[in-house]
Amino acid sequence: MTDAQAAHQEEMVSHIPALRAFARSLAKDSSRADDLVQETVLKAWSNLNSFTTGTNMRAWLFTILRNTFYSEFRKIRHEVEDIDGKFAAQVADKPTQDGVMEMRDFERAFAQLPADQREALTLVGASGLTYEEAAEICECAVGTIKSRVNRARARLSEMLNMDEDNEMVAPIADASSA
Amino acid sequence: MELSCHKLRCPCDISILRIFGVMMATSENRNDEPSSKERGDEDAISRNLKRVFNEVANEPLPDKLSSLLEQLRKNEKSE
Repeated sequence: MTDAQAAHQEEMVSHIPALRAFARSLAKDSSRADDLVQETVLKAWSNLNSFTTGTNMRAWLFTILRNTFYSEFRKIRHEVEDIDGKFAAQVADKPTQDGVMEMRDFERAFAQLPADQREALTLVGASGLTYEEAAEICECAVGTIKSRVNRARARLSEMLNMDEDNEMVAPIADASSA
Repeated sequence: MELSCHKLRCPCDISILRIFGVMMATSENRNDEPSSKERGDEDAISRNLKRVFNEVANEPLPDKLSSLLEQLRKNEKSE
C-alpha cells in the first residue's frame, strides 16, 4: 500500500461522522442510516483507487452514499413508511426539555420535508458543501439545488412559526399540524 | 475674497445639508442596530441544521462500523 493510499484511507475514515449525519437526513432511522454508511464505506474502500487526489473526498463519499440510498435502500417498504411520518412521531415522543425544545421541534419539522429538500438543505446548510458540489452530488442543476433549499427553508419557516428573520417566535405544540 | 452669506443660505444648500444629515443619521442608526443579516448571524434554521448534523456526527461510531473498519485494515495489511 502506498502512502497516498494510506492517506486516502485515513481521510475517508475522518469523513465517516459526516457521512452518518448525511445518511440520517436521508434514511432517518438511525439503524438503517448506519447500514447505509457501512455499505458506503465498503464501496468507497474498494474503489479508493478511483478517487482523484486533490478533489473533494467528502463530496465523493456523499455521492456514493446517496446513490446507494436511492438504488437500494429506498426500495425497501420500511423506508417508505418512515417517510410517511414514523420518524416524525418517534422524534415527537422524545422528552422536550427546555434546552432542546427548539432543536426537537426543528427535527420534527425537518423530517416532514420531501427527501430532495432534506438532502439539499443538509448538503448546503450543514455539511459545508457549495451549491455546485451539492448539485454534482444530486446530479442536478445548481439552480435546482438553490430552489430546493429555498423551498425547504420557506416550509420550515412556516411549520416552525418563524418571523421574517427566520427566528422562532414561540415554541410550537405540534409541527405536523402546520 | 468675500464669502457670500447669500450663497450659504441658499435653500438648495440647506436641502443638501438636510439630506446629508439624514444620511448620516441613518448610517449612525445602522451602526447602532445592525440587522441579523448585516451581522452575518445565522438564523434558527441554519443553527438547528448544524446542531442536528453535529449531534449525529459527534456520536461515537457504532460497534459494527468500528469492527468493519478494523476488518478492512486487517485485510489491507494481510494483502
